[in-house]
Amino acid sequence: MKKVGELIRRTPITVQPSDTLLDVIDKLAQHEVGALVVVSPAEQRRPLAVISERDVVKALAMRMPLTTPVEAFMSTRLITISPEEPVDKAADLMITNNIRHLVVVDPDGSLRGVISIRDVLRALRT
Amino acid sequence: MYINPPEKKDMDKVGAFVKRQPVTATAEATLLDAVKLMASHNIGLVVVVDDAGRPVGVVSERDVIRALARGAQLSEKALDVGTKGNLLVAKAEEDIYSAVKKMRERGTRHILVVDDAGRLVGVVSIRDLVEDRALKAIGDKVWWPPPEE
Repeated sequence: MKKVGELIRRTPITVQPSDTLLDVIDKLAQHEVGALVVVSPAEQRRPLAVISERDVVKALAMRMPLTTPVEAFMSTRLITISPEEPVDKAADLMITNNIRHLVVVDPDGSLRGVISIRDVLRALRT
Repeated sequence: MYINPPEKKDMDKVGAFVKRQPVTATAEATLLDAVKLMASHNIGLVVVVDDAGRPVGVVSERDVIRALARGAQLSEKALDVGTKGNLLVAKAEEDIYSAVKKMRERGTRHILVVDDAGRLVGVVSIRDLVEDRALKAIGDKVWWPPPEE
């Protein structure tokens, strides 16, 4: 079974809590990813939250302006995993928490990357 | 939780992975209508169907994000920002592995399940597949409930 760390394919795309939903939309579209990691300006390697396509859609459904700050809609209940964990642990976390992305953090809590449910399915099949 | 509990022998068929009623909109629906449906049902895909219930297009969360990134308004027709025609479909009796293969080739997270008349009966998402794969990979570990049969 592959380890979670092997599934990380790029440096994580981040935003700051004071950035806007439009910033999020632009970054999601530009990098073709489904979620961004929210970090504070002071500590760029420490993940605070995640903001996903789903969070943006929820904001849109409430007719929130695209100038709304990220911190209003980000998910602060951060679900993280260590790069050393097996992929089936990642699948378990995604299913039980009904999420499509996990933030991968090193033992010291610093941001390593993000894995998606698509990455997990690919790894479980091979 | 299956709509139609499958026979054990049918567990490898697409129909066994349809776990909820599909969420649909008409061709007249706006992007805002689609977004509201996604948010209220907590789903990532809305299927646009014709009067007979046959799928004519799909709108995904990703379509919404891309549309807004290029400056689209929520008053636009949902179908205009989604995928119109050439949809990824499977019959309920089709083998799940051929469906997974098609999804991978197209890079989609969903496949539409249709009956012989081409009417939408459900949607299978990548989550439904991971769930099944995870169950098989994890096997008999005690911290995981046994798969329903």
